[in-house]
Amino acid sequence: MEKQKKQSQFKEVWRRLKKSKPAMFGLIVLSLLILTALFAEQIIPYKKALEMNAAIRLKPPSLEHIFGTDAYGRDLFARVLHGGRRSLLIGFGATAGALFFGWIIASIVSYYGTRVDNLLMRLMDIIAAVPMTLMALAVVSALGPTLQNLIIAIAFARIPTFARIIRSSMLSVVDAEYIEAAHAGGAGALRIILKHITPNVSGTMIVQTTMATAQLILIAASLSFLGLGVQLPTPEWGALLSEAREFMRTTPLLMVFPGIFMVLTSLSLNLLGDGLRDALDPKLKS
Amino acid sequence: MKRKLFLMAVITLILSLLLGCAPKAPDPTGSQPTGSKPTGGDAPSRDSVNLALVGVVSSLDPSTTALTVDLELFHQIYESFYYVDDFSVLHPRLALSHTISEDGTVYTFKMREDALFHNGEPVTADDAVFSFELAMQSGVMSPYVGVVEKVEKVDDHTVAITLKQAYTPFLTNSVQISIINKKAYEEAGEKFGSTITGAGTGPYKVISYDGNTKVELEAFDKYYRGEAPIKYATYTVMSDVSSGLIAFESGELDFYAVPTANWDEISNNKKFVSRLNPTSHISYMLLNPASGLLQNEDIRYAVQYAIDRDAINLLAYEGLAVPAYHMMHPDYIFGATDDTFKFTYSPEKAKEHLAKAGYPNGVNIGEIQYTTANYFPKIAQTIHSQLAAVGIECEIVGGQTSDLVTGWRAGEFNALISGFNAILDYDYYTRYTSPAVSTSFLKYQNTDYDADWVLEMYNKGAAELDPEKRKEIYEELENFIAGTACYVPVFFKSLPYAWDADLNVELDLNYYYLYEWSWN
Amino acid sequence: MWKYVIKRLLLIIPILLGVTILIFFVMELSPGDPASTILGAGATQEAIDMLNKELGYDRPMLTRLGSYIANVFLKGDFGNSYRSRLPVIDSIVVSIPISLRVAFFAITFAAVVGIPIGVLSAVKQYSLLDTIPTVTSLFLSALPGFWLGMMLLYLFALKLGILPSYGVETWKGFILPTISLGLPYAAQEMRFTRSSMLETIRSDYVRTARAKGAAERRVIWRHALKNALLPVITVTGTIFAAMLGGAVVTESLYSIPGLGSLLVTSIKIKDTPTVMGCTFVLAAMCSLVLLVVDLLYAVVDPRIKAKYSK
Repeated sequence: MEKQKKQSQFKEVWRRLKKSKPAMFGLIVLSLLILTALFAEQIIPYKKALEMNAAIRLKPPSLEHIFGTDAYGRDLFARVLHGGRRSLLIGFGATAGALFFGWIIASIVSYYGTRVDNLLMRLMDIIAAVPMTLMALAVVSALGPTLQNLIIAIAFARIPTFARIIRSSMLSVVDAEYIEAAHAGGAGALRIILKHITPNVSGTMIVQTTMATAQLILIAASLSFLGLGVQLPTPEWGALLSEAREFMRTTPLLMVFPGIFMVLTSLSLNLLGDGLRDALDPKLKS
Repeated sequence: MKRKLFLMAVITLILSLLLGCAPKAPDPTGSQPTGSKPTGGDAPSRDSVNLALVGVVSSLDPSTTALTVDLELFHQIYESFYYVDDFSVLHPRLALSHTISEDGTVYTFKMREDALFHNGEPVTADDAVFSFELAMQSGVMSPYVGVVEKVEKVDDHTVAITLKQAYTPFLTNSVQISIINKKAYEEAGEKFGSTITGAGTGPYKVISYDGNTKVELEAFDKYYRGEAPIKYATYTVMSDVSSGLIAFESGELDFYAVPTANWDEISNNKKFVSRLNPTSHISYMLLNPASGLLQNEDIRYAVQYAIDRDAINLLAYEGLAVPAYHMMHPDYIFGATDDTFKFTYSPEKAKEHLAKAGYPNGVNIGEIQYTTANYFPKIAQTIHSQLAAVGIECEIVGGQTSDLVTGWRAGEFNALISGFNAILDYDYYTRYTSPAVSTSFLKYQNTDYDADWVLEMYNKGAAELDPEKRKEIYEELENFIAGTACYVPVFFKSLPYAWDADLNVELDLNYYYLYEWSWN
Repeated sequence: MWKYVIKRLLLIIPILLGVTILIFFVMELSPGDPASTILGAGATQEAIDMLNKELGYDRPMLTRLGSYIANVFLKGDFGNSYRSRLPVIDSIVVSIPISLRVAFFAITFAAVVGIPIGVLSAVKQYSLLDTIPTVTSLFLSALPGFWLGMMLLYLFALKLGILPSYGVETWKGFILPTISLGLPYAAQEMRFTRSSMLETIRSDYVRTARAKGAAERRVIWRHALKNALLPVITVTGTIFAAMLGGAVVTESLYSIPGLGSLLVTSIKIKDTPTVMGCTFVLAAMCSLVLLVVDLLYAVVDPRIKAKYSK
């Protein structure tokens, strides 16, 4: 019975989402980007992104190199595609991490009430007191600039925001009586959290996930820009933009292509997020 | 309604507090500069010149720092006994002449009597003695005067410096020591490097100083060689090179070190005069002969042969540098020649040596650390690719020099990429190759090489008074060191300078002196 | 209610303490030592070891942390910068007004541009006046900040030559950083205002107002506008807090010696006292702003106020 309810709920949301053209645009573009990231190796091999050739550096787009070549003569298309793999990995990875830990903290806090709330949320405040980019910057410069550390650092900086938002969402849905009633039904803490509380805030969580991914991809790019991103010569959109910066006036396409992909990713995530928010909003009538 | 008003009042109060009482930046001089001051950003009057510093200034104390940014400033405001030009010729500054004792251990400098410090005090032997003693205690300057036994005042304008042993490079080293006013230093105490004290003797004096943003200089009217043609100089700290370039192109700066990527554009622009100024700064890779697979000489030889300097020059420096086959520049460094042992690009030989080493199908030599400053990441990437082309895999790892350097000195690295600027004598190389010098990354410890012999040769070269014999010693030493295939010289960088077409600029090997500049 | 305010103010102290400890450990994790940075690669190892000792770097980590905390909280002494040897507080105090000014102009720009457009686009939903701003703002939020900054610099400082390319000494110098920093946030303001307005418009009492007729409609409209804008105000406050330290890229691009660039430079050169001092001040400022934001929430929404007064 519950499963059926869930399925029709899902269908309803999907129907509403379909009606929004921008959201569908976002969904399609995002799916395409994810597909190209997953199949990047098949589209163009990774070694093309590393192969240097001084003779053909900074060349404009041609049949052989459809985006042109970078300052080392490497194929820009390959670098953008494989860079996308890493950027998306960092974005989704960091978001997943921040979401997971933020959800745990929010759940604990909204279930167990004020005392725990104060303690944990103050802890969150401490981390949040430092602006995100700088927090991630400090952590990654301490751990060392590798892909994993980058994900950890950025996720860490984002946990407080997730915790705060999910918590406030949970609190508006749940109160002491609600929990008591569930208890009376014979449920344990984890069960209540998973089956009763979380589904009610899943809408917020989903929307926040898409927004956060866009934001974290940009933060990762900023860190690469400041020199603390992935290790060279690994491509990543922020690193590509950083490399392209000094040639902005002579070979602007170097900045344009990675920039376009970044903007498209961010845009599609935001559009999708907006659409999801509208589709999941219970107050909206069709 | 009342609530809202209250709220508005609180907000307004907070905002006005934040914005209104902005504390005035503490004025380091304690006094306002006199005379008309040009403001940066307006069209410069022809009696001033606007330049940029690529980083913040650490201090005005020449005994505590030798960083490039600081030196750029110091060259205008401090001097030593002599000035050494690109061809190792001495020009008198605060000293008019000197004599060296027969055994080469006592240097007696005769100082000029008409020199004044910026604060008006006369320059005397006391100041020189003080400055040298300060240098001897300084972490940064002591390597230049490490060989000094004692410094004595002979009379008001004569100084005698006794060395522990004969050390011919001493004269060129002594030129690195700035002579500052003892009185000013003692009066300023702790504040010496952070405030204006008039302790220098150079053609320009500091009239306004904020290490983080701007330093303003004014020509010293009582300079003994005559007042400088350009009266004012303003240095603005601009760490972002693209913004700096835009400032230069829009006329806010008159002289600039152009980013290599924009060199073509700027050098073709008739509004500016541009010059690629050569330097003796060497960018290099160092393979640790005591580490892992690099202990195998054949592998090191393979790496050496795999390096295509012309390609690195193009990819990392837009082709504007000078490919280097020796660590010490043969044209500018006494004791260095082009005839000594060197490696040239040969992928076939690289593969041969790999096979000889027992790895005909390739090998992974481990980690190469590089400093993330400037163009070094580009060198690292290019080398990574060139090694891969002959079958040598490696991992390049970036870091800040200051983080890595202690490990490097302890020999705790596999391979590294960095650069340094050599002062005009082959003996300077001891800092990087002598087993006895703490800053050296290559001490030949834990290897089969005869470290003692290296040390012996360096000592011989320093003690030898006959220039020809010195050259022979250094040639032999260089052949040996290059033959161990540890240091891989890459290129000597050139500084791509550009300036306003109406400005007459003189440039020296590694630096410039505003004193020699003028406006049309 | 006031009890809540006092409680929150007092709570800021342990937060600052927590931030201090957190950043200290973060800085400790990274390799390198202060003396190598100060003296540079040319100095002798003996000199480096000596300077490290002088700076107290050779003491055990917890001792250093302890004495630092004691100095800050008991004496208000943030120590001396490893680089300049001058009191950290001096360089921070000089940089704060600069960052504040830039952030203030940027947030004003963002609010003045974003909010009205957001209202307009919500009211005229689905029309061109909605689609264009929405798309533009989405695009702007998706742009990397440094890219926008570079383009502005290139266009206005170089090509047109009408604005200075660095520094904030004259009022003209503030224009580019304000736009560069403020535009992406203007987009955020616009979108948030729009969604908040839309929520209000769709709410029951507004729909009732439509049914009721013109005069009453106007009254309720004003009420609705107020309700829609209140969350926007609090979001604006949050953005302001973010701008204070988050303007790092803007500050670096325009050579603005603000708090953000001081912090980044210090992180890079491992000038730990300055890093800790900057973070402390930044955290304090952000906490205060967030407190004001939360209070505003309470003031305008009686439900929340009741909760805080419990």
